[in-house]
Amino acid sequence: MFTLIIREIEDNRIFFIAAAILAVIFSASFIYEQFYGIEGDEHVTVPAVTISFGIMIAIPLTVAFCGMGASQMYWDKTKKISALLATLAVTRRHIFIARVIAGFLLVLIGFIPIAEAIIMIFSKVGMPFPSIRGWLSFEVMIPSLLLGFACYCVGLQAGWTSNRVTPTLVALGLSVILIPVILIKGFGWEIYAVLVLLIAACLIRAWYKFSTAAL
Amino acid sequence: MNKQTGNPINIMATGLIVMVLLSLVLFCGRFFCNTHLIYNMPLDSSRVILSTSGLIPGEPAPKRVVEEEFIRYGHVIDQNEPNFRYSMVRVYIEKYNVLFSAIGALQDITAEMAPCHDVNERVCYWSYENSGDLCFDKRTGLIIRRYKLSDPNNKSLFVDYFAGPNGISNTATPSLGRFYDPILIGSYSTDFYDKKTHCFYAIDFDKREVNKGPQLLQGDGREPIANQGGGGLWWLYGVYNEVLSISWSEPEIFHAEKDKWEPRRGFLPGEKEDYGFNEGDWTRTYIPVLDKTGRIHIYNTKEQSLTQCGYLPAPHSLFESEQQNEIANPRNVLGYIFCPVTAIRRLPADTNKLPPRFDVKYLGVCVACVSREGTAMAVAVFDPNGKLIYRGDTQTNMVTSTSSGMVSTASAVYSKSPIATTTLFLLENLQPPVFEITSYLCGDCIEASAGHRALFILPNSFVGMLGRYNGTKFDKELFLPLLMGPSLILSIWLAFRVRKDAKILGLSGTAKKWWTVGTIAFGLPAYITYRLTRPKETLVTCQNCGSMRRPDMEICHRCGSKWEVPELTPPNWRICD
Repeated sequence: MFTLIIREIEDNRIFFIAAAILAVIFSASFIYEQFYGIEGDEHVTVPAVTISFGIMIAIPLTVAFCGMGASQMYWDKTKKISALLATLAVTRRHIFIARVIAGFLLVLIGFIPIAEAIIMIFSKVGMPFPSIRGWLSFEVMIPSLLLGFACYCVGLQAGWTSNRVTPTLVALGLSVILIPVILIKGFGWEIYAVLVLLIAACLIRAWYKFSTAAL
Repeated sequence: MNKQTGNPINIMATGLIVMVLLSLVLFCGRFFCNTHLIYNMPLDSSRVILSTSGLIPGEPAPKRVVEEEFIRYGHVIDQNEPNFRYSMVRVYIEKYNVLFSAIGALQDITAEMAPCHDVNERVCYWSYENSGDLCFDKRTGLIIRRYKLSDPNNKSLFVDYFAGPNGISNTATPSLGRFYDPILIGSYSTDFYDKKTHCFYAIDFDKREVNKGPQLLQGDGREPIANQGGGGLWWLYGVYNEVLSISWSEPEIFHAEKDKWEPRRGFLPGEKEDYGFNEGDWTRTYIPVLDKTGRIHIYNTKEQSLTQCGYLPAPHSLFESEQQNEIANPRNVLGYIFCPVTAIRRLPADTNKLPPRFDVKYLGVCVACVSREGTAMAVAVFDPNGKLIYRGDTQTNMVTSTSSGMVSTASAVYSKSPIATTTLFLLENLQPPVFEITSYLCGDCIEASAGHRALFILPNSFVGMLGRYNGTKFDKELFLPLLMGPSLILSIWLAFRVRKDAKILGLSGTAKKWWTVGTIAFGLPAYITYRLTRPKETLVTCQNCGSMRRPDMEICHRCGSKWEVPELTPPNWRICD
């Protein structure tokens, strides 16, 4: 399983590198903005800038996650990677689980630097209400992480085709449709319910497609 | 192959994905339509201005400003009284905030700021940069007031005081007792109601006193729910998230010699001294509290009494025409606000060392409510005895080919923009019929603000509004098919298409039945799900009946004939060397 995960990461290293670079660039610019670029009451500007920044980075990151899912399935179908692996001592289930774990790792790589940056800033600034710090670092990050993973899972749906244009456009469209869910539903139990159900549904459908396809 | 067992799960998973994604697209469409509808309304339709509130003794009954305001010397005044102004009430619907109700992330962030809960399980009620803050420690059950002291080195020092039901101390000791579930009543005050012990408490940190107020019986309808205006954090962060704003202005008189307006003091019946008139009560003697039924009570902190002083007036809705005395449930209105009016006179001090004393009289309260949809507002004014002296609603002038006149904004908002209304109606009809029926039956179970963020069950849709219609059952049942008509027609047409396609594909009778019922119930999402999950086999022509048949089935699903396999008879000739 570990070898399969490594192989998935190597095959899609471009996404991992891109997500890491994006996350580091955004985190660095975010930290710079917070400490040097903002005038006025930091207690007012920090939450405002954090929210604006979150919305700003959500789009490229979620598109990257969705693209990774679509890319994994597209290259598998066109290059017959699973057909080759199936000749070895691995099952389709192993291949699929390794693929999803690699996707989840990508989401973590995209999120952890940004989450760290936000937590660091809030610790430095010293918000008047410690709850905001804890809330932003946990209650906002977990739904965001789920949203990223949901985008990846939606990408898995879009990629299982031989057409090169379709997965790109569908992945882009679906991820843009999905981003507003966090704005609409906020950060309460409803967003957890919607995203967990969506992730489960996407994984079931992707597994069904993958397991019933002729290799 | 696990196709047979896996297929229903795959269909349900696909259906869920389609449902969520389609609902998000439809939500965005509805949001843009609602934005257009609300912003298309003229300014005067989102406000109610009373040229006299009628609460100051000697003033005429409340009167609404219908025409353009008459402004002189920078103030809105009555044209007949150019140098004098009665007390006025202005109530506005904040259009931006009505739309922000649909953005849950913003709601959650602002809700987290006031009041806020920290990692040490403390509920912060308010916080001032200069005077510290007030919070409730869930762990000890004590209310903590932090004072900020300044020392000569300009360093901030903080001193904490802990209040329990038994007193106040500078250390948290068990002898203070504990509060269980206190809610702050009044803005920036230190008056509480403990929801578990059903008791009011007035805490005076300056005098180091905790006064126990009236204790309600369990199930008493007067139990307060609202912390009206509590917490300054909303203002602090500039995210003032109320959908209504209210202001009461005191009576004023123009002094020509000074060339400025000055507040007019006045005499109350039976009083020899004159009083100043105020919006709210900064002495914290009279605090308005709201119970869950929509009744407003005045909590007298001096007499420790609780008296009903008014109620939330029910605003109009598209299919509703509320009656004068109908009370709105706080859950069913998008926002409410109330403003008590008091007369305050400073009493002569006994000695210079004692703090000043005040004589406070309660004069009445102005209350406003905005409808669930955010399209209409009701304003009411109650006298000191809780008697309704004014009731008004937002209205706008509508001119049609047959008539013209003032109509409620609840219906006018849809008439002013026919294209946006039609688009909104059609978008709502793309929702599954089963959700529309649920919206009709139990849409009002969803809290008003949450209704703006609903993806599946839409309490603010036309069908949802019809469900709350207070007319006859016959009218409701007459309108329901009309409002759901496009949705039902679309579902039935899609079900017909699905059934036809399923027949061509040779799905089993049970599968055809389920798909037909499912498409009628879930409409467009079910149809998209069917298109995504239907068998992808390429059909071939049946040699027996000539119809298209499935190559993966042993018999033709149209005529039942088997595959015609040509008999392999050996040829008579042989190849020889």
